[in-house]
Amino acid sequence: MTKRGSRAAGKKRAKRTASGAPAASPAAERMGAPESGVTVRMYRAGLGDCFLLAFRRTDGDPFHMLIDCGVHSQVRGGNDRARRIVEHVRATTGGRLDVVVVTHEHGDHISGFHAARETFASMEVGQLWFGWTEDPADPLAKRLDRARSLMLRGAGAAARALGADGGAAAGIGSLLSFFDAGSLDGGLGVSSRAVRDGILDLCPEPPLYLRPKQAPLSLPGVDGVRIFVLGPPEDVRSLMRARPSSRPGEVYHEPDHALTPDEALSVALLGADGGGLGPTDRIEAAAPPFAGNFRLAADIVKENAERYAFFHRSYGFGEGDELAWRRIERDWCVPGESLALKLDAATNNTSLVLAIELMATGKVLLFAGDAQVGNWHSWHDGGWSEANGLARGETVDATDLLRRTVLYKVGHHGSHNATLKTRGLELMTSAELAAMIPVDETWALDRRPYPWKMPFGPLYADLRRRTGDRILRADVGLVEPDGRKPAAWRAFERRVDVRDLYVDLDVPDA
Amino acid sequence: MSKRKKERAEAADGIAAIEEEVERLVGEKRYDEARATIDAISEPSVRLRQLRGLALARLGLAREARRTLAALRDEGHVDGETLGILGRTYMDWYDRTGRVALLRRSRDLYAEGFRLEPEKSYCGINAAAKSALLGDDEAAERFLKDVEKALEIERSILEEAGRSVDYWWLATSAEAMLLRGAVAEAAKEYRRAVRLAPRDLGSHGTTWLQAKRILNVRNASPDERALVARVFRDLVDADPALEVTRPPTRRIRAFALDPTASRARETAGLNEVTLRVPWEADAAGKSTLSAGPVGEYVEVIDHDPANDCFYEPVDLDEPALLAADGLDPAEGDPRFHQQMVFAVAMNVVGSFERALGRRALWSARRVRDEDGRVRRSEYVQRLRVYPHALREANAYYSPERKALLFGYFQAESDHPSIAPGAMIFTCLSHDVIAHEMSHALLDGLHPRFAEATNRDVLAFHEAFADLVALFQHFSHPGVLEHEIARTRSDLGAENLLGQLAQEFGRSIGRHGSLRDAIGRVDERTGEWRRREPDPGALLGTDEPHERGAILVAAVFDAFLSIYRSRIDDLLRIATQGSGILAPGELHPDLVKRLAKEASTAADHVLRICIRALDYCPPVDITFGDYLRALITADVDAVPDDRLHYRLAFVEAFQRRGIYPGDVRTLSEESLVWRPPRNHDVDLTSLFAPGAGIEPEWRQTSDRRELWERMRQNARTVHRWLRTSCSGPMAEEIGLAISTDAPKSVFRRHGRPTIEVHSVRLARRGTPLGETRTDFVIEILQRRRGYLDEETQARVDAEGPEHADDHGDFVLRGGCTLLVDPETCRVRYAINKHILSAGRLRRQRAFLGGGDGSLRATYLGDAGRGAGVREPFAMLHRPIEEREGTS
Repeated sequence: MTKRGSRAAGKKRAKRTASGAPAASPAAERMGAPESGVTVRMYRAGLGDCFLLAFRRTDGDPFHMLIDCGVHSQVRGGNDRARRIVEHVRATTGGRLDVVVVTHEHGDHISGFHAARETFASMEVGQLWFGWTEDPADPLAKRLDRARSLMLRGAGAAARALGADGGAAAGIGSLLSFFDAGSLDGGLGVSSRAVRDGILDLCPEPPLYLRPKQAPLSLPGVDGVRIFVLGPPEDVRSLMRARPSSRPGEVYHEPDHALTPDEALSVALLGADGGGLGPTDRIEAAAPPFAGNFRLAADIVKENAERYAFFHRSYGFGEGDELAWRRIERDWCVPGESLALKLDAATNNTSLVLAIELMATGKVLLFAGDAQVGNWHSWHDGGWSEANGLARGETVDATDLLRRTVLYKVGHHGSHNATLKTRGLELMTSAELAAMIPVDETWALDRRPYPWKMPFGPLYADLRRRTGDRILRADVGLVEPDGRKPAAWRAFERRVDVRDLYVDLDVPDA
Repeated sequence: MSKRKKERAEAADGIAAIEEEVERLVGEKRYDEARATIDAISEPSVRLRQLRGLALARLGLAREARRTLAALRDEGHVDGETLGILGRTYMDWYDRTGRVALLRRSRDLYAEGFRLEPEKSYCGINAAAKSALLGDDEAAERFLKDVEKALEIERSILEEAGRSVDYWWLATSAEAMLLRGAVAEAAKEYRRAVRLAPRDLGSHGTTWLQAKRILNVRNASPDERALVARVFRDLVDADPALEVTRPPTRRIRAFALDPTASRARETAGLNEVTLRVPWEADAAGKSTLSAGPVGEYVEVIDHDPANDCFYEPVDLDEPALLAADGLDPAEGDPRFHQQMVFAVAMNVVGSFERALGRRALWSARRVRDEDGRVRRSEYVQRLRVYPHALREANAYYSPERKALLFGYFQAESDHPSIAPGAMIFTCLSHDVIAHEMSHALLDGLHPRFAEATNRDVLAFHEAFADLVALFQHFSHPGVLEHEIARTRSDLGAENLLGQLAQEFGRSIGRHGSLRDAIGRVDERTGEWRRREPDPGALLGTDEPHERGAILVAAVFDAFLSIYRSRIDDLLRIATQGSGILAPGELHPDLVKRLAKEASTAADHVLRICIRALDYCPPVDITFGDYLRALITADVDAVPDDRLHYRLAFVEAFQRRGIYPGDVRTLSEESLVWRPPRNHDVDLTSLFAPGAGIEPEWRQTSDRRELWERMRQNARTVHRWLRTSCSGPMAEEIGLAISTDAPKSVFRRHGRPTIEVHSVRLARRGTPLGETRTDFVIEILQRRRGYLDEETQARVDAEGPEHADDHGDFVLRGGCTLLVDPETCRVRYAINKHILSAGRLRRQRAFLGGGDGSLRATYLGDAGRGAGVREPFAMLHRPIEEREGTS
């Protein structure tokens, strides 16, 4: 019942947003510094993340932090929306961003950096923060980059090879749309990778590549705020695969040159598509199963009907002939879908995860990017103590941070697999817990042929229960409780400011 | 000549040519083609219609043959030939049923034919022989006299034409002698006939059959029988001294488990097995297995699309390979892969055929038109096997293509038995092949069985396929004895026999095998631990493999307790009564005896599992249903359960928390399926001679013919449901066939549609040790299901708004009936009622559930509901993409 109610509400609001109601106000109010704590602004980008945080400097001026800036590539008018948002960001910050955080390489988190690159170019950026997985100097990051790039191309080739074969190709396309930063009507056709690399130009300083459990970061000029880095994990297995490693303490020892099975499949797929690598490269790269003398090349078999009568009789080569129904030319490309799924998970798992602590009250704001299970689990490995930047005798761990979380930026637009249950959400026991979900449910459910379950019903219901309906959504705005409005919710409502273009929440540190 | 006359003459010429052609086709036993040729003509001649009757009779389509010939007779075309063929069809019918009235009918038709054409011996000798079979010696004697006269006339006609007597003349003459009791002369005459036409094996067969009958009715002595039999035993080769007995089986080598076992020193010597598959041959004993291998059931086509190539097919008939039982097991030679996959596949087919007592058939191909509607069903003779179809850690059965697709992939493992980056072939894993074959055979039995309508359906398919693979292990003595010696008879300890797909499991980075019926390896510590039964485990999981594993564990438990009860005495004998084994190695003789018991127990348990398939509902199976099927099938097969097998099953299932939802106690009596309760469904009219199901008892060797008969019988049942089955009677067995059924039930011309899926034979034993044959009939209907209850109620009452509104999902319902044709009563009605509100609700909840994985987030719930293109492909993808749930 709860679910149905909320969905109906979402529909109503979404219509309004889709009609283009949020007009960019040129005279945007300046986003000032909060009295204490932080103001968190979620831009209503549709399906896409764009958060602007304002802290208070010791001198009273605001300190602005931008976390991600993207709209999913298939949102109609997405580029324009991104440009309006960035225009607003510039106006409201006076053209200075003290920190820009990029969580991971998906279009719905970074497309705005490209669509509004001119606006960005006119702004001043103090620091750039990335996860260590984007560090070109890190050998493991390089390997991951290669794997992801091969898988992306392989999955794309599979989609093309499957072509008319509806379902699977559409499924792959749907997944790969996260890697396209150009929107449907914008037609920029730029890969998210190029966009990520372009962001580096925004700031003259070299970016910070953050590692989990490094000493907490502080914000220059701001007192009373510490930032703990939880992810991405440094263990490749947590990133690339879900199954836990088979032995404790084991090191990943794949030789650098060998292809992983997924990479090998990708290379083979590139061959099927005829693009990318040539046929000889392909045979060498994706090791053939048998010695060359066993191999009867398909075109030779096809041309010599007499010599290879067996295959002509049993397998056949004629277009649409009576043997066609049993042929298997394209089946092997279907795993391109798994490849795309794994790639999606692997990329989401590279999400930079930040726990922002307001030190006076100990409140924590959790920005989890789109981290998936592997990433979440890794937060619990180790913790902070004197050895990594805390005062003598002080210790902090993930459980502790989750327990103190008062604002959770829900991962991956509320899909089920990006919020860990037992070692995640169930640990967020603060009585003040609130959640922000950058989602457009109507749009997600309109995806064809496969509607996306965002937010996922049971998770959403659980979130409502645990937060006492203190939820802000990009599509709905402020979620209203069913029935009577409890005092705690009313107090929350007073800290919220819902506008057409964004939703603000004040989190005071008092 | 006038133009019209000329045309007519030309037409007559044409017909004559066709008659000649058809005669030739019939002579060459190409009955299908003969029939097709005749059916293509708009106005066939009398002769052609006679030939059609003959062809149909030879094809075993007796009823249609009789219809054709009876029409000729009714039109006044009464001649010896027509009546003779008609007589023959009644004789065939008699052979199948043993009903004397049919024999008499046959005799009378022959007699009538002989009366009309007394100069022809053919009808006469048959009338004489049939009279003898009827015990009417007087009539036989009378006919014989006239036959001898007719033979004289025929000989003189032949001699006048300058020809000598032919095969049929000699055979008739010999038969006449036999009827008179002159066995030695008859044998000589038969030998003359056979020498005259040594290759005409079809005719020899008919003649020998008739001779045998006469020898029986005349109470011939064994010596006399031998005298005649010897004539026909010499058929294959003119010189009996040179005859070679045709081998019953072909031996083919394969890995017993998978290639890893060969790399471990301990098991290296045991890992090769020589499988015995049927020697596929024609009537003369010559091998019909061709390169591929391509046989009667399976065709291996080795195409590797990922590598854009083919691999040369292996020819197992090559002398070198015949002599060596095929190629040496070798991972690097694709031809060995073809050989192994073929051998294991045929082995599994054999297991099914032995358990079910009938030939295995693949599911029919549904040929669709452009709109995706099924136009017709086609018989599929062979399952296709592609050993190198995929480049992933996967293998699956494709119902759409009637094919098994096996994958290969590079290992991703640090297990010492697997070289990093080594190529792993799923088609070299005995377990994977057996598993996939089981899916294919299951699909051949019940076409709608795999539609996931509740959380047990896919789990059941996985579990069943695993069980078949597991129990195959016990047929390889090498591994079996080794493991029994190693575990000192305790098969409940960690052992290879209870594990599936070792190599596969390790190659995808696991520590142990892919699945294990007894325990599991802790992925952190690497230690194996026994898995204790947990009655609550089933409630805790929806994942098909996890649920399936619980069913597998239950059946394996039952097997273990049966095995233990079978070896108790052996252990006592071996230990002077203490039953406690002394430390050290077991005596090799004891190991052999224990292995034999294990193998027998495994064989029995596998048979029980397979036989239960005939006792399952046609759709929407649950584990509880399967328990009831197991018990009922076993009660039918072995009425006297002296070894307490059934108890072992019930206990094991109970320990794993598997209960049928609809029985009160877990006693044998309450678990056995029941007949319909209120209306005693009377099926007499369904078996009415001439109009009803033809009880074709004989296990015909021709699988296509079997398939055709099954379809013919299905049509008969369909007609019966339409015309003779009352609404309440139908409702009793789970159907809604009257016009006032809910409008959501699919209809045609205003009446609810019915699909009769299969009418097949199931043998059972009676307490007296007789064998009976029941009919298994599966009937299904479709109903539109809606996720929204109000819509459901509206469509139930008013019908769908558009004809192409197929609902949010399709609810199938119906029943499996086990019918005893002797009493014409339903013995068991296993129904999944089409009108059940509970089923509708459960299926709705199941389809709405979703597992919340990343895949489900983006791509919907693969494998749920109908219309999934490759339902098994996803299920078998072992990949970490199932990540997500916490």
